[in-house]
Amino acid sequence: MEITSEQIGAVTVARLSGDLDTGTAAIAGEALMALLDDGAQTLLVNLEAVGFVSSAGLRVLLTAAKRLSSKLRVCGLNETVQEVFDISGFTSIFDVYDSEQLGLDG
Amino acid sequence: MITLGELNLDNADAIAAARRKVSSVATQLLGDAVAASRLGAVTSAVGKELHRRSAGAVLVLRVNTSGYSGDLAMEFRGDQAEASTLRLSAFFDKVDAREGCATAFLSFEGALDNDAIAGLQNLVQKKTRDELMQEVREQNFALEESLETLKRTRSARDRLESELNIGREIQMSMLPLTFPAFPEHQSFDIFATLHPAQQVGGDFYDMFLIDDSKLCFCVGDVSGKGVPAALFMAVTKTLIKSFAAHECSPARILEQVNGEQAVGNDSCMFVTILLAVLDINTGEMTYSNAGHNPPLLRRSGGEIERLDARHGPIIGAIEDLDYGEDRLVLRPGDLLYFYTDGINEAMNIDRELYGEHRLLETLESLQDDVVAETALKATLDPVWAFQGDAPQADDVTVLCIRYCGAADSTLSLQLNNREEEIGRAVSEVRRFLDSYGVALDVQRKVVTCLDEMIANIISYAYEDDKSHQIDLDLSLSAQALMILIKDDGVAFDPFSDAPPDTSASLENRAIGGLGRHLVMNLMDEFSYQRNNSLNIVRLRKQLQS
Repeated sequence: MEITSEQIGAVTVARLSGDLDTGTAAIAGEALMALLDDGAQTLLVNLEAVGFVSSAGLRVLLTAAKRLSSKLRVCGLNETVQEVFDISGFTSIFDVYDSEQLGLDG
Repeated sequence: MITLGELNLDNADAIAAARRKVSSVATQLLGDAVAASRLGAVTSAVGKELHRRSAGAVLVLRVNTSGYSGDLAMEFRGDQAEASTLRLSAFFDKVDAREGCATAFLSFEGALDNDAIAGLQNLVQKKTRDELMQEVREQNFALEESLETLKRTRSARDRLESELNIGREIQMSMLPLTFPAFPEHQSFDIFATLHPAQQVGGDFYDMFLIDDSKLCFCVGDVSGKGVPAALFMAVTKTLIKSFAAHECSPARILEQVNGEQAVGNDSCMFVTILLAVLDINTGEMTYSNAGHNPPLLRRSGGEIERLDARHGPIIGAIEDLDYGEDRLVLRPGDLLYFYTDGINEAMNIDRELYGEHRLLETLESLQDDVVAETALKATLDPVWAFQGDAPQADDVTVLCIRYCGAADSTLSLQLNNREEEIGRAVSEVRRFLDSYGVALDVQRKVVTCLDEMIANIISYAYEDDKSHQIDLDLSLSAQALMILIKDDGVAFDPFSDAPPDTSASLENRAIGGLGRHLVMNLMDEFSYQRNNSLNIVRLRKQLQS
């Protein structure tokens, strides 16, 4: 799992690459927490390069979302990840965007 | 020397059975019924003598054959068996004796091929009706208890009622009730059910593997009710299983069952049987119908075939009958439906019959990828709805098998209960699925579920810190991917709890239970079974929409 981040205007973008699962959840969690510790107010998690997200990965996103004052933004969900979000009801608690640009625009 | 079998001489019934068996073997070898009957008699005499002295006496039968002649060797073992030497030497060519053992030899003319030897082995090893009956009684603890209750029951009406109940208990205790019945096998999916009627009914079903590739299954309907019908059913079912161990032809099995059941059948009971043997790797099926209503075959796509062939009369009525059989090939997606007349003869309050046409309609309207259990329930629900408040007149029994096709390819992984192993499993599975061109979306769903299931086992299944093995087996056919996960952790059914609340607000949202909820939604089928101290989870993902 590789994670890069970029501040674009008021939005902190975290780009994840790899699978967000039991094995990688801890690394991803630490990276997202570090961004929040650094003062990120609006967080956009780009999952374009993520193959699948298991419940361990969902937990990481949920933990980050609970620390934010605004809704967590996610973008770039593939078909499977979209389905996982739908099944677990995460589509309704996050703001889901098709692309990073749409996520930035809010 | 080739061993034909070992016979115990532990009680009068066993000795009588040994006498008959020796006599039949000798008839075949010597072609002389009188000499054979003498050998039977001496077997019985020696057997009784040994039995009188001590328990545990046995007789081992062997043959030695070279070219056009051979020897039959009968080895009597028991306390002071050597004392029988003199008695035996009057009937045999030679007797070897040592302490606790007397072996009598008799030569015969003629060659024995492998089939003949197998036939003799079958003769010696097959269980007699009495032995089977004894087994049924021993197995059936409830039976003894219930019979005691019956003896104590005074009034005639109570007596009839109790007898019907006992019959019902015997009947139900004989049925395999664990489903999925063969979680290890992914080329077929079988489900059966029996709904007993209040009064009449002697239905049964059975399913078992004859060997690695042959599945035997049957449905039957015994005439009559109460204890006699239940025992007749119990013996019939046991006979089928016993004969199927040596014989894969349904017609030959039915001939043998009929042979046993028709002899001395004073109560004139009979049974209709539909019996099939399926090669689970090729889909080839042989079946024989003895007086039963015709089975239905729903081909993938929805076309229904009624298998009208009749292969012989009811079982148990007339001795020495020949039965026929037919062959067909099940294709992946085909659904075979065996049932008893309790369905078509179900009646509503206006005494109208449910009829086969209604059953055909529901079968036709099923979806193609429906599993056996769902198919079975979908065909029975309308029967109950039709029947309404009318009493159920007869047992309703259905056995449904869906053929899924042999796996084209398999992957077996042994994982350790360490978190790093999940990543290894995920990449191995991805590589496997990719090499067979499985769609990326399906691959992702599969690995999501594997991550959930294996992580769950590693985190919660073990109470010690030791190393444990988790077995992961995948088998892929054109239709579906089957996944089997086995672990030796504490018993836990991951699919038993209620689903988590997926509509709670962000603050109240928890992750607990979400993993299994994902699995239950991403997979097309899932089941859990505890077997031999193993948790066995079976997942299925359909590959064609």
